[in-house]
Amino acid sequence: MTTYLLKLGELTLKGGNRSEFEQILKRNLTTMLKGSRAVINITQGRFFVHCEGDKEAQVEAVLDRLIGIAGWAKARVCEKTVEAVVEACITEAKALAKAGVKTFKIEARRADKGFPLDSYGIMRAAGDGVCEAVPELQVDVRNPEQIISVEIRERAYVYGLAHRGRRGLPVGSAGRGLLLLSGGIDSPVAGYLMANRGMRLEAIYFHAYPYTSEEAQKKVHRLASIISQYALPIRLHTIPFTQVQVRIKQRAPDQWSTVLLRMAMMDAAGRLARRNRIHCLVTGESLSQVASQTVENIQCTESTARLPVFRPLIGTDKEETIRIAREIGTYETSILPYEDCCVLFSPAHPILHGNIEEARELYAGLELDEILEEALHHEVLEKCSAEEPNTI
Amino acid sequence: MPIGARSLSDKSDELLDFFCIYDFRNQVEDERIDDGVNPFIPLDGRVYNTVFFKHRQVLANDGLAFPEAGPEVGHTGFSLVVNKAEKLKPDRVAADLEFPGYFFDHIIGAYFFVAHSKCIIAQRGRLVKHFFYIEKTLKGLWCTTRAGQLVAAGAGQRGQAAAGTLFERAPLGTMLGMTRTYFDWAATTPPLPELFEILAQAPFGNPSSRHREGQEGRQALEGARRRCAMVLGVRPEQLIFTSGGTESNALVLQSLLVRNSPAGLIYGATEHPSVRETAEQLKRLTVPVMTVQPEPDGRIPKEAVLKALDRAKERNMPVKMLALMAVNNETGAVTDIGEIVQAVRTLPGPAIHIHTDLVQSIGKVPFSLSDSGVDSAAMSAHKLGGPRGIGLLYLKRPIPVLIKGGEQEWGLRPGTENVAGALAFAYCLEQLASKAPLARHYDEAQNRMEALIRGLKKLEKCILIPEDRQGRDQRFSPYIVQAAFPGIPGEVMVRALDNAGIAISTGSACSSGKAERPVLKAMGIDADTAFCSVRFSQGWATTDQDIEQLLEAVTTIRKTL
Repeated sequence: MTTYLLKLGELTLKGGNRSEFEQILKRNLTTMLKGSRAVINITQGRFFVHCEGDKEAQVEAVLDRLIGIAGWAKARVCEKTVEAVVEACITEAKALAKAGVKTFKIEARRADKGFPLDSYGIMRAAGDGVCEAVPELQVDVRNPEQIISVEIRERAYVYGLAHRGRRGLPVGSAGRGLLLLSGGIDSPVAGYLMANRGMRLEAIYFHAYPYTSEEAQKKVHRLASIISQYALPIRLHTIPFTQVQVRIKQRAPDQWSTVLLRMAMMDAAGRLARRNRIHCLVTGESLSQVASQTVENIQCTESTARLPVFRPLIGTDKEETIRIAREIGTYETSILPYEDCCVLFSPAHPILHGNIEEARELYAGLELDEILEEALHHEVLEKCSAEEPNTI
Repeated sequence: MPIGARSLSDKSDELLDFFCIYDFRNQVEDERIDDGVNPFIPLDGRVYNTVFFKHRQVLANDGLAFPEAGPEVGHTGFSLVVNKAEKLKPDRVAADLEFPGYFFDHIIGAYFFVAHSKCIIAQRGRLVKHFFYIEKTLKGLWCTTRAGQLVAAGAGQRGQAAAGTLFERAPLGTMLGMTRTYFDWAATTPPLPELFEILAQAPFGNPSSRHREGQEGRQALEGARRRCAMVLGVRPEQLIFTSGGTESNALVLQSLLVRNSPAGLIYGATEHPSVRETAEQLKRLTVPVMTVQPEPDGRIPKEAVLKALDRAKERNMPVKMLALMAVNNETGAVTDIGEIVQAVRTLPGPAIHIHTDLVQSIGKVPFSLSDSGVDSAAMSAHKLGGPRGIGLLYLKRPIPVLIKGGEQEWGLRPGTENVAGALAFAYCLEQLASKAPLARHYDEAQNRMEALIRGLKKLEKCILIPEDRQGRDQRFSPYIVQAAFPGIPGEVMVRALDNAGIAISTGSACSSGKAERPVLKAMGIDADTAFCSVRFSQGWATTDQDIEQLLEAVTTIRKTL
């Protein structure tokens, strides 16, 4: 049996509703650990996960992806005797030394007051033991490279090398948002960042076959599945958008096509969100990254949304976005060469600073109401979850 | 997919256990194909209680009249409508049948819609093993109605039995599954039906082995070579079997790496990737290379070649090889190789090896290998009704080669020979590249291409590439046409037509997935037009109706997208 100890991050700053957050976190963890037969315990604000030895890899992968914890560590569980605790600390210290750590300190918490040594006593005993057995490690109580923690509870737990968690707030603790997923690099990252603030996501994709290919659709499905590894299963709404594109092509001036298309997407997403009791839209827009994302054009596109639009990437640099995309594993899929509709439709000279009044007028002239309703009526709803096959 | 098609190809020795009666018009019933008894509504609209032929369940009905209408276009599979059938006892199996089967008393009608799998048809109580026997045994039973439809009129029934044979006229839809209309023959062609038999019966022995099996293999291989040589009008020892066009091209081009003296290459800017990319690689390996630019119509004139040679001379580039394709795979532009060979041969100085890629011309466009005077030529079987993995390289005389190994193919192409493939290729050449069928197909293809081009020209906003291409145009192969639809990206057109049941492609299948169109670029076509450009390519089984269908679909798409 292996035991993992989870450290809560921002959660601990919560006051009266802390236990609510904890329950959400526990529920998320249970969902993600499904099939691993792992057991989750919360005692005195500590999360413990116990699993069989052969499930370690699976559990660790889940902890790496769990949003809402500051870190996690594999704990050594030992007898509640001073010798056993010191021995465990030495083993942990050897592992640290092997990993190149030079300085350490011991931290102890004694929840079980029946233990013969008090916290300070444990620290001293363990510190002495480690210094003697592992001379290459130096004690540094002010600024240690690593901390070896000892917790005396119903059993004694010792842990060293802590893995950094994803931090943030547990998914589901901050309402629901509808992510406009295009298949590019930005939108999956935007979704992940919102999930990291506790938002539960649904995703919407505008499929314009034959303008966009089946492969592009599969790619979006795959991206949603990757995000769901962090953000729990995601419902993906695919909306057939060919008719909308055709209408725009027929009626709108060429240079306005991209902005109008995005206005139509916002419109459709807003309608869908409200019907599904979703509180906001999430997009991957980044200020002035492309022509349609200038502040004027964003004003135009937002005008049809009728819900708050969150743009977590608005101030980020593309390189930073790519870094996050690589880190969460969406990058490789995002760069597969299947154009999304925006690319195929981008006019040679798109309007850069659209006038909102003009945009409204043009948009009204498209008379999209019926077409949008028809499109929404034909939505295809799929559930994308982490267990999806990893192939396109 | 209807169960018939799948089952038939799964287990050849139990074929008859998997027969399927299939109602073309009743899709909904078809969905429930697995649960045994289904109401079968034949084309006369009457309801019969029947079961699908899955695991010894046979339908029996009396006096079922077979209507004149064809099946709905739409399926692969095979079905029979019979009025009496029973399981044959093993002792009643006729000697010419290799497996037990059902006995069909009287066939009223049959549909045939299987591709790439063996299937069985019974006629008046006699089983006929493979569907390519149909031409011989059931002639008169089949006739085609519309594109993509093949109707059996029923033995002894009212005569629909008019035109054609399965091979000649059975539209491709029959071979591929009824719904589809295929306009991507330049990428690959459907196999000739006889292929399965040829491949299955080819001797398996390694031609290099001394035992009887090996010698049978050797005989078959050399026989195939002689037959190919006969059709192509060259000597058998001038032909070596390769894995296809790409290998044939590469084998010749890479020989530049193993020459004793410095050797340079000049090649057409519109060549297939197998030449272009190989040339690029040779360049990285320090072989000097240079391209010849085509005329705006995509053809390479002899003047351009001579000019390129002059330029090479000025740069002190020792040209040892010239590689030019006879028919361009994206535009169908025909380069007069014979004329170029003549012109180059009159030049003073060391002889230049002239290689030509015949992949899109052999069996399609009249070309005499022996008269042309080229030193080598590449061919591929699967562009000619043959299987993948077999090609030919014509070599006037042996050349040094890069890849070494066994002594197969005189050491020019080491590796155990593909005997079955060679036999199949020989057959395909005989069927399609011999003078008579070639001329006939060429003529028919020209008529159809004329109709297609006429139709395309009528369309609004359709640009033929090149724009001055005519309906009957000696400068182009009648099998290929490239056209642009401004405003509709080529890839979108491909998907839209695919949706409408028509298969086309943008350009070379070997470079699909890439945005660039080097061939069109070399012709001076601007990037926007190239981006919206697609290729239609037809073949021997394309029908006038297919052309109509294509034009209709393109017109609709042009209007709606």
